[in-house]
Amino acid sequence: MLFNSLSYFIFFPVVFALYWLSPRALKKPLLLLASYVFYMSWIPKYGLLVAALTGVNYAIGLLLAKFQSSQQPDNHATSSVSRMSTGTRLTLIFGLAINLGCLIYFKYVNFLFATATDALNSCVKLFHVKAPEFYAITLDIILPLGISFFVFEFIHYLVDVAKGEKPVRNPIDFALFAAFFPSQIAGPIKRFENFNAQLDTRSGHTGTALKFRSTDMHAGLALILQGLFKKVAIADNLAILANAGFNPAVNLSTGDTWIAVLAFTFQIYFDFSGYTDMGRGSAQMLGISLPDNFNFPYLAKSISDFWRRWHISLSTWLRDYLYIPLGGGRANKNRNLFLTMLLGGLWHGAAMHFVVWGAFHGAMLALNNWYDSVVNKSTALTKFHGQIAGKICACLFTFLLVIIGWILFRADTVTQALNMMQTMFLGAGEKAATSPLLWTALTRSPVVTALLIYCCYASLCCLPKFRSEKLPELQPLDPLGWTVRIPFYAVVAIAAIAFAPTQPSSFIYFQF
Amino acid sequence: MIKTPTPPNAKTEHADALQVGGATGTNSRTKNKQIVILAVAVSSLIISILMLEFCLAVAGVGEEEYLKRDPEIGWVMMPKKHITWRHEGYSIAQVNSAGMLDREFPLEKSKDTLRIAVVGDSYVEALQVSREQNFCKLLEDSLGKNAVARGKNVEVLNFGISAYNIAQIYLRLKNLAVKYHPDIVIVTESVDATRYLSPEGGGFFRARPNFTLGQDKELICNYDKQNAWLQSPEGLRVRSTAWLRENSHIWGVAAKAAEQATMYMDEIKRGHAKFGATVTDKKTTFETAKGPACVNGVFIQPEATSSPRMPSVFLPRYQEALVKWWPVHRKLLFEMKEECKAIGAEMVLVRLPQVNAYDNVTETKLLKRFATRNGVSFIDATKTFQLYKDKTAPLFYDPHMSEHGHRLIANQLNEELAPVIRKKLDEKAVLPSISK
Repeated sequence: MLFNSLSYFIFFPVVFALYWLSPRALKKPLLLLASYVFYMSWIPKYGLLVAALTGVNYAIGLLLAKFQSSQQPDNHATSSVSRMSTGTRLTLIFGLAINLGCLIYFKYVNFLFATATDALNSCVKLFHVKAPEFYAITLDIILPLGISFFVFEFIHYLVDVAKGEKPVRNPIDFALFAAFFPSQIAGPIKRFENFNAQLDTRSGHTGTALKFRSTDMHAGLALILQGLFKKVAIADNLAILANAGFNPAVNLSTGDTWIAVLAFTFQIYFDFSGYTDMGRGSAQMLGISLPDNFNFPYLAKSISDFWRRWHISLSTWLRDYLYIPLGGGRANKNRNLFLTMLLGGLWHGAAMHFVVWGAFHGAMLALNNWYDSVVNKSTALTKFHGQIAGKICACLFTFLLVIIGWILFRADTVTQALNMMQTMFLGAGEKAATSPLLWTALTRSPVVTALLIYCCYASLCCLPKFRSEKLPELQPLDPLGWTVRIPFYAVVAIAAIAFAPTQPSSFIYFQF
Repeated sequence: MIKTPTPPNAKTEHADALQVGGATGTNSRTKNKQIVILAVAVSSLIISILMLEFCLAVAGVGEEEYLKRDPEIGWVMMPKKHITWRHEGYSIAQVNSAGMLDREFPLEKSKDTLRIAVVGDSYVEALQVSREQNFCKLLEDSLGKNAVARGKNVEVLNFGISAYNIAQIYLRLKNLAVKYHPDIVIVTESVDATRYLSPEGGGFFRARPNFTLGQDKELICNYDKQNAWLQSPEGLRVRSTAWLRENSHIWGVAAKAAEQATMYMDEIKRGHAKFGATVTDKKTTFETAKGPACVNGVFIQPEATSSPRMPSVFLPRYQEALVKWWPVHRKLLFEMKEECKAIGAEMVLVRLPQVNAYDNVTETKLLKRFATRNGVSFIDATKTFQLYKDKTAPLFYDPHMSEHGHRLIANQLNEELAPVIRKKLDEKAVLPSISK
């Protein structure tokens, strides 16, 4: 069920009404049931996969806690993997193996077979061995929606419990952590401590989930509508241009290639942040707060700054559960950055261009690291980066690197990506179209007006907060009363429908 | 920071006022507050609507409702309506004051003008391409340069309207086109035009005058179906919201959304769509690798453009409709010929092509026979389209013609209309000398 579908706009109000009308004891079971209905509306049998993984991880969590409690009390909450008891370590490895095994089976097995077969065939050619050509086995596997996200949440849970955090003992709370529908398919990747604290409504606890607050309703609804506009009015219209431009059979001119790449650059942002807004908004209307995922990433002044602003829940996960365990900044920082991003790239999809995209960002982060040390040593450079011109240059250069990355990400193959970069920077070949095809299509699209509306709206919402250190990803309209708010909501909803293209598309991050 | 203390007597005065004014004061304040809230709510609603109307007008969104009911002919275009069309192809168009998708024309024409009226359905209306690219305008331009026009000022008037059947085309000719005194009238015939004379089906586009033949083979016009629909809930809604349909972009959007929602619910009812199942992604990379072949009317990958909509095989049920309704069709064509004759215009019958090289061969033969027997010129564009091989210039969106299709038709008409124009101009040249 897509957040931007009619089904969801029937499903969510029903869940919302039942949730707030039901007695307190039934709220969480009801939410869990709704989450499974949401997930199973796609392929029902995959609900069993989520349920099975939830059960296994719940049991392993309790087992880990049991091992922890038998350890020295001073090791609690601070124990690193090296200080863990053998039992804890083995249980953790077992848990990680199950989760990663599932992810590998569903997501990477065909990719691994294909890569291995290619490698074998290359070896045969290289060493002139007389052998028949190998063909990759392809299993007919449908990737369960959101598996990459909930597997990462399970891994975080197991690692944190193994390190001494208290496990979730209430099975419904734990099942809800895994299956909570607003964040189930494409994140944000939640932290169980934060999520479950909100569900914990026992006396003396600060659980906030089951309390109806009108502020949550306003903010949640605003986020849902904002996300809907981003997705339907902007991302879906840009998707048409990007899909046409990234068609390998099309030879575009230099200008059109730039339009295709920029269209995808903004499509992926508006698509994913739109999804996140709708997810966070839905959660907030149910009284649950989900973490931020975006903070104006295209205004980043460096690649490391970009990763602090883009898909924040993933980058912090990678930092905590990959980069730091690899050694973090203590030793071989650049290698660790590179490896983290390489695996982060692979997490996005089982294809070589995702790996190359990850490697590209890893390399850029390493370069960024080196450049920072150069800047620190040079007074002139430090002064330049402190000025507005320096900041603008840094923003533009970072943006350029990011869009180069997106070409690798979106192109079907690395070769196609390189060809597109060649067209963009060195000019198009003789076969390229002479007329500006995508430019014409862009001028005919309502997306230009939609983007202008969004820019005005974003400026209005953020200008007062512009000087603050962290720009929140649009939390508008707080001071406005319902008299202004209701017509405004209606306007945004109608505008989203108005600008929507005839064919809606799925969210990009659903496939990861 | 210095805090200003409240004057000691202020509170007391306030309390006194409350006591003195009593309940009446409180009530009036509450009432005032309510009025203010109401005023803010109404004004913010008005501002929101105006803002949205402005944004939608700038983006050209919500302008696809351009037909209004007409008691005599079923529906006509809303005069002076501005249309941005993205449904299929792309165009920005302005309906003229007479309800034609064309520039303004005076009813009277000057002596050195050769005027051609083109009547037909959406293929003539051609909202899918800009006015400069439709075959009427292309024909006007090419005939203007053609020696056959003998330096005359050529005007080609587009009377096409979406979803018209041949009966409505006849009424359009009779009620409007003849008033412009055309020298030549091109009556276009889409493939399977005969079966649309059948009153079967429901909704906006089936509520129209229906023609049958009387005992003496005379045409009988029947408005029962249209009247019944106008009294139905849908008809009442369309009638009561006529102003909004003509003037509001928001209404245009809402109507489109409602239409899509109805279609979606119908799909669910029929079992063609499943509630909630919209994600079918099997891959872990972008499934849209091939990309759309056409974006906003621009052919990005022309070779990949396919037109799978229409069947390439003649359907038997169309044959039945043809047998049943051809006599009415023939009679209507005859009446059109008579109308043309009455104003001294030459009638030309043009068989328009259909997507996927589809043709109802029997119907084409019948049309050709009618033309031969009644001394009407007949131009068959279907054959030209069937023989066309250039894959880099697709002739159709789906199902209407693209700019390439319009150019092909215009070229064909430019060549094949030559004898008719010559004859007409010869007649014109002779007539003044006789009168002298």
